[in-house]
Amino acid sequence: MKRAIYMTIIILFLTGICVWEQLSVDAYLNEAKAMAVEIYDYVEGKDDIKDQVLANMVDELESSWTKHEEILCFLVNHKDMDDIAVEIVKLKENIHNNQADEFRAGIGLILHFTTAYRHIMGISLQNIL
Amino acid sequence: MLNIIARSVIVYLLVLIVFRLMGKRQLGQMQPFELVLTLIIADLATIPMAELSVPVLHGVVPLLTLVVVHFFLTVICKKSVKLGNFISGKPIIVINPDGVDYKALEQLNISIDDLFESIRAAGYFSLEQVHYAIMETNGNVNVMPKAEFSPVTNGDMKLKIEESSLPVTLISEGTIMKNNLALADVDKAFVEKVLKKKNIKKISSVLVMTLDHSGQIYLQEKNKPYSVLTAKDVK
Repeated sequence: MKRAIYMTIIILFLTGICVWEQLSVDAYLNEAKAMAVEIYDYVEGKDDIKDQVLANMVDELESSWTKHEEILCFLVNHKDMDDIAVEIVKLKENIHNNQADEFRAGIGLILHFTTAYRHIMGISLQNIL
Repeated sequence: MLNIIARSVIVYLLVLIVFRLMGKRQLGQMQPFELVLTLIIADLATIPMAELSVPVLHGVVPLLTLVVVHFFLTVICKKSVKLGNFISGKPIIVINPDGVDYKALEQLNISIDDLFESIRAAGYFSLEQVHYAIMETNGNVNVMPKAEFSPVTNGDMKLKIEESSLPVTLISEGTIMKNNLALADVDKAFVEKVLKKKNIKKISSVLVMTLDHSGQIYLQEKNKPYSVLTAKDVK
């Protein structure tokens, strides 16, 4: 009986962890994706990207992702999360150097990561198998 | 480095809990599926300990999952004999009154030398001493000797021997075992009286003190020879 109670506690704990992971990954990636889409739309067709509004948008993306990264660290392999952070840093450099094409490529990569990471971080058949 | 130390402590405690939850049987008499589980646990535990990029949860979750799976597998094995036999196997008679059952050896994939070794471990050095030998599911071989080679017991000799009782440890390495005092139906004052009788001033200097049902006390101080006295001597 005692063992059954322990097992129930463990099952509840595991269920909680799984739900927390799925919800967090979904929410954080969606948020990052929405922000990246906003930035992408803003820079589309622009040649001069050295502007304060864009810099603020990237800063916002960075601080949001850094905040979420702290939680994701509990759930996801740290190496799997590095890519987005690295690309955000590169975006800031691109703004500083006014490299529009590189910037668009970078934001495209972030958009790709926010979709592709779902397979790595969240529940998916591909991941299981 | 502090991270690794903290992670090691967490994983160690977790593995300890996992083994406790799996029961004491795990340690000495492993069934095949328990052996598999032990091997996986040993491997899983080391990953989050040394690899800092892996969250501790990546080690905790699989460990706990295995505990749950193991629990349900054990429950199913208890409820269903067929499934239990499938997972754990069933005891097989390897020696019968006709001699060694070669088919059984083939089935178990063990050689005659392995069988000899197991029989010797059971205390029999010749096949003709063995009436039956059974290979248990945990790999142990239990031997039933032929009547002429089985050890003589008090029952065989029709001797009336008084039942001995299990001695209760009252002091272990300088610490009074409070739970055992009630078990032996004595109190701390009794223990102190015994020590006073033997001129022992500190409980911490006692290595071991036991009391059995007949009232016999075994007492030994650290780095000194033991002495035996009875509860009557003390009262």
